[in-house]
Amino acid sequence: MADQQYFKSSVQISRPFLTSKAVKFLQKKTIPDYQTYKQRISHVLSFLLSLTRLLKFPSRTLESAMLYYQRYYLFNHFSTSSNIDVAIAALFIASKNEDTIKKLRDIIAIANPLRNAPNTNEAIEENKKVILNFEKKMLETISFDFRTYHIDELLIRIAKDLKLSVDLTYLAYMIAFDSFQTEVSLKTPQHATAIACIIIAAKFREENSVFPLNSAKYKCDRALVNEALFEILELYINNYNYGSLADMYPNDKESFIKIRINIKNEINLKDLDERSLLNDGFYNIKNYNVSDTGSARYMLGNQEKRFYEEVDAQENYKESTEPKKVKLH
Amino acid sequence: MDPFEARLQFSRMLSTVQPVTQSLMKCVSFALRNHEYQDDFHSCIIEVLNTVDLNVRLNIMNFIDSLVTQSKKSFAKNPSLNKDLPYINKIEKDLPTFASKIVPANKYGLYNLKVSAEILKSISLQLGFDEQKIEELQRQFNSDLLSENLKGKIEKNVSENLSKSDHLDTEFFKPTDSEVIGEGIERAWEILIDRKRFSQLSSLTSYFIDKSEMVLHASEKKDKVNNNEENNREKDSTQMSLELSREQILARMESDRERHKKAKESLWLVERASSGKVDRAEFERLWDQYAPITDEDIEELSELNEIAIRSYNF
Repeated sequence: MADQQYFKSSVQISRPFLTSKAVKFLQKKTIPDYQTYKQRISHVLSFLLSLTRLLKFPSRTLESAMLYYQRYYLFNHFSTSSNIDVAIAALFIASKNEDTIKKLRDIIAIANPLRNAPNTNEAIEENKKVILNFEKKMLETISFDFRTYHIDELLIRIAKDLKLSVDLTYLAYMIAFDSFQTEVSLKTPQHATAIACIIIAAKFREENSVFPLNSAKYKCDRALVNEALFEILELYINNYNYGSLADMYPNDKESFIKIRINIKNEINLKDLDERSLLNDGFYNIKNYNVSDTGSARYMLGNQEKRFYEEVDAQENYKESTEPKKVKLH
Repeated sequence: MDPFEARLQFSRMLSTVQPVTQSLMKCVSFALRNHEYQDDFHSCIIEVLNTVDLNVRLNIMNFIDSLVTQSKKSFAKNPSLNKDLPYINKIEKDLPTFASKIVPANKYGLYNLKVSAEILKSISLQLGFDEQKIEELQRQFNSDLLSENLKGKIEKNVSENLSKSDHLDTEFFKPTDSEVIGEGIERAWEILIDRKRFSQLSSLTSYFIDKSEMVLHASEKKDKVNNNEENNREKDSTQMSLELSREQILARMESDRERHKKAKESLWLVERASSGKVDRAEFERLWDQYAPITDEDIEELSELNEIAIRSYNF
C-alpha cells in the first residue's frame, strides 16, 4: 500500500536577532571551517563596498546586504564556490528593500569584472538564474522580514541628542562601518549597536563627559549594548588591521584591549541553554522542500498570538489525520 | 548610412520613443553614433514635434534630456570636443522652441506643463545653468502668478456678463503677447511660466479657455508675419487636433508612471571618493540630514528593543 501523501506545510515566525550561543550553534552546522568563513567575510565586505561605490548605493544598502549575507549562512551550508553569488543576491535584495533599486542585470554587469568573471550576455543570463535562486532562498531565511533600522541614522540622531561633536560622531560612524564585518547585526538591535559605537568612540578618545550614558533613555537594555560592545571590541582586539580605524590610528590596538578589560564585569545577554536550542525547530538548517512542494508561511514577531493558534491548529489536524499504526505480525 | 536614410530612421525612432531607459538610450546612442548628422537630426526633432501627439512630445522632451546627459558623458573625455559637444549648443539655443511645442499655448498643452517643468529643470542642470537661478525660476513657476488686481478685474469682467470682455482679454494676456520664441534656457523657463499663468487664468473661469485661445492664436499670427521661418511649423501644430483619446490618456498614465520611476532612479545616488573605506563626505551629508532623535522616535525604539528580546527567548 502506498504511503499516504501529506501536504507539507510550515509556519515560521521572524526572529531577526539571536543570542551568541544560538549563532554559534547554527554556524556549527552550516560552516565546516569557521576560519575560512571569517576571512571570506572581510573579502565579501570589500567586494560589496567596491560594488556599492560603483553603483553609488548609500551605505545603508551595504549595511543591509551584509546582514542578509551573514544571516543566509546561519541556515544554509557555506561554500566558497558560491559565496560571492550569495553576496550579490544580498545586495540585490538590499537595493530593493532600501528603495535604491537597480536591475539585477546592471548589478551583475558591474560585479563580474570585479570578480574576474566573464561579462558576456550569456554569462550574465546564467548568473542571473543562479542569483535569483539564491534570492528566493534568502528571502525565506530572513522570513520576509523587511523591517529595517539603520545604525548610521540612529547613531547620528542619538549623538545629536547627546550633543556630541561631529568628530566624535564620525569616529563612532567609522566603528559602525567596521561592525558590518562582525556578527553584531545578527545579535543585537541597531539602537544597541549604535550606542555601543558611541561608547567605544568616546572611551577611545577619552571624552568622559559622555558618561554616564544611560541607554535606558533610548529604550535599550544595557545587556544588549554590552553584547554589542563585546562583539565589536573583539574585532579590534583580534583583527585590528581589518578595521578602518587602523588607517587613522595604526598603533592604538592596546586602547581597545584596555576598554575591554574595563567593562569585563558588565552583564551581557543571558544565553539560552543547549537543550532549548536542540529542541527548537527554528534552529535547523533550512529545508526548502516545504516551500517548493507545500506551503511555508512567514510571520513577523508581533503576530505571536496568531502564530500559536496556527501551530496548535496544525498539530491538532495532524493528530486527527495521522493513520493509525497497525502492528503486523 | 546616407543622410536621407539616417534622417528617416531617426524620425521614426523619435515618433515612437518611450520614457523608459531602454527606449531612450536606443535613440540617444543612434544620435550620438551618427553625430555627423547632428544638424539634420536637430531639425528632425523640431519637425517630429509638429506631427506627433502631446504624449510623444513629452517623451521627446525626455529624449532631449537624455541626449544632453549622454552627450556630456561620452564626449567629455575627449578634450578636443570640449567646447563643441554634439547637439548641446543647438539644443540650448532652441530650448524655447521645444518648450513652446511641447506645451502648446492652448488648453491641451497644459497637460504637459507640470512634467515639462520637471524635465526642463533636469536639462538646465545638465547644461550647467546656474543652480540658484534654476531654483528661482522653479519657485516662480510654482507660485501664484496672477496679481490680486488682475483677479479682481476678471471677476468684474465675468460678472459684467462678458459683454465687453474682448477688449480686456488682450490686456490680461499681455505677457503672453510676446510669443516671440527667443533663445536660451531662461527664455524656455519664461515660456513655461507664461503657460502656467495661462493655466491659472483658465482655471479661474472656464469661459476664459475658449476666449483666450482665440487671443493667443491672434498673437501667434502676428509673430508669424515677423518670423517667416517659423510659419510652416506653427501652422502644422495649430491645425492638428491635440485632444487626447481614451487610449492616449491611458498610455499617458503609464508613461507618467515610468517617468516617475526613472526620476526616482537617481535620487539616492551617493558619490564617493574612490579610496578608503569610510567616506567622510557621505557621513557629513547624513549628519546634516538627521535631526536629534525625538521622543516619538524613542518610543519606537522600545518596539525595536521588544522585537529583540522576544526574538531571543521565543
